[in-house]
Order: sequence, then C-alpha cells, then structure tokens
Amino acid sequence: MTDMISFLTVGSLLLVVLFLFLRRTIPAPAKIENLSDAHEALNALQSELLPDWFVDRLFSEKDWKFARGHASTHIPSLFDRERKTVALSWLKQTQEHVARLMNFHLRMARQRPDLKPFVEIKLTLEYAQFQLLCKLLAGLIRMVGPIRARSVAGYAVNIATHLGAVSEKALADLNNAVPVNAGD
Amino acid sequence: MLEKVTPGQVEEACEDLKNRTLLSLPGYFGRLIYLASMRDYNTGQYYHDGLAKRFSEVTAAEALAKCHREVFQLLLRSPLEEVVGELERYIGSTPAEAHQLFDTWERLQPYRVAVPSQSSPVLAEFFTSNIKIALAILKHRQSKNS
Repeated sequence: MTDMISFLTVGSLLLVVLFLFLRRTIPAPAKIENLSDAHEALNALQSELLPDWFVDRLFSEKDWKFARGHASTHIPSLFDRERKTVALSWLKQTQEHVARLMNFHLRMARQRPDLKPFVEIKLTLEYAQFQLLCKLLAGLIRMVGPIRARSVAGYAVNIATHLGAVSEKALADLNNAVPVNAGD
Repeated sequence: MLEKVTPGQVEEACEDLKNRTLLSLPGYFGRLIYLASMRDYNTGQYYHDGLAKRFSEVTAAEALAKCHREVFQLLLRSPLEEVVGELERYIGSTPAEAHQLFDTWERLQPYRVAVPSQSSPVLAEFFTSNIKIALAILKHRQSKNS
C-alpha cells in the first residue's frame, strides 16, 4: 500500500514537473499569422508526405526486388543509394512539418481556457516518441537501407498522421472561432 | 479584370486536351514531356493555341496545369518496373538513337523540367531519382543486347 502511494506521488510530481516545463518552454502566444504556416505544414503532410501510396512506393520491396533482378552490381547499388537519399529527405521534411505543427499547437494551447493538461501531456509524449522513432529510422535507413526499415517507417507515419489529425481538429476549432480572413 | 474560370470549364478543357492530343501520344512519359513543353520556362505559364481558341487562354492554362499534375501523379504512383516500361516506350518513339539519348539524359538530366511547378521537393526528388534508375536499367539492357 505504501509502495502504491509513493508510486502515485512520484508519478503525479513528474507530471506536474513536465507540465510546468512545457509551459516554461513555450516562447510566445500563438499569433494569427501562424495559422497559415500551420495550414501549410498540415497540407504538406497530408497530401504529399504521409499518403499511403507515397510511403508504399518509397519503401517498396517490389521495386527493390525488381532492381535486384538485373544481372548487374551497378543497378542495385544505384537503387539503394537513390532510395536512401530520397527516404532521408522525406524523413527530414516530415519531421520539420510535424515540428511546425507541434510548435503551433503548444503556442495555441497556452491560450486555451479549457486546457486539458493530461491530453497535452499525452500529446507531448507522443511527439517525443515520434522524434525518437525518426532518429532510429534515420539511423536504420543509413545502415540497412529504407526497404529493411519500412516497418519502423510505418510506425513513424502512424504517429505523424495522428499528430496531424489532432492539429487538424485544433485548426478547425480555431477557424470556427476566428472570423474568416482575420489576418490569415 | 481577371477572368473567372469554373472547375467545370477546366474539366471540359482537360477532356478536350486528352481526347484530341494526349491519347495520341506514346504513353504517360510522352504525355508528361509534351505537357511540360507547353509551359513557358520563364513565367511558368502554360500556353496552347488550339485549346485557348476553343476555350480561353486562362482556361487552357489551367487545364494544361491540371493534366500535367495528373500525369505526373500517375507516374509517381507507378511501380519502378512500369516506369521503366513507360520510359522505354517514350525512347522508342523518338528519332534519337537510344545510346545517344542515354548519354545526354545522364549528363543534362533534362527530365527535371518535366516536373510540374507546384510539386513538393520530395515528390520531385522521388520522380527524378526513379528516372535515373530507369535510365540505368535501360542502358544496361541495351548493352546486354548489343
């Protein structure tokens, strides 16, 4: 019983510290001009970087097998090099756009009167998980190539898609609350 | 005053362009090159005299841009094997000698201008990367056959 109480106390304290840390690291309240930036990042993620068809193509095993089917050492190595370069660019841009969205979300959350700390903490943990996965994925792409790293890419895409959906909902709420063309 | 164009007009112009011109061109890659060549390198604007006469200059430009994006998307979504097939079909339809075309394309990478102007950097990079690989495959096949 004592263990349980200590565990809960330490857990609650950690959550409070995390919440205070997040509030402290938010640089400034969200400005209305950031709306277009957030919309742009969301659009890039949803229409270009995260659609299933593109991720499937970029990490396609079928293409990899096709390139290996040629009796030449040059073609498979060219394929690996090319896919590695594009996959790393894709990962970098995905991370950048998700970071822009999260930055906007944090700035916006600070102004919300109905802020739900546990929801925000959950989201922050999810974002931390995404960043960690991206680091792991970048390492895997460099070491073993994108095709063998595709399951990790799948996890990263799922989290990025969820973070995008959360931001989309927040943006929709904000658009409903703000008159059209108000500084955007 | 700027001319207003409705999505319906653009769609109609697109259909016209497909039926009269694009369908007679060899494969998606040939269509992509054709559509990219309708774009002014300096302004990025599309021009097509016949289409502009039938519709309007603005409608024609929007229809060309839309068709360009659609064909580009189709090629992006295609597996590498199909991209190789499309490129082979296009090369077979040009009067240039294949080996000459391979050398020129490897050096100058003219296919980079075939990318629609509003494509994201990653999609453009993926496309050019696929063409680079497809060229290497076709060159390898040619050297094996000769």
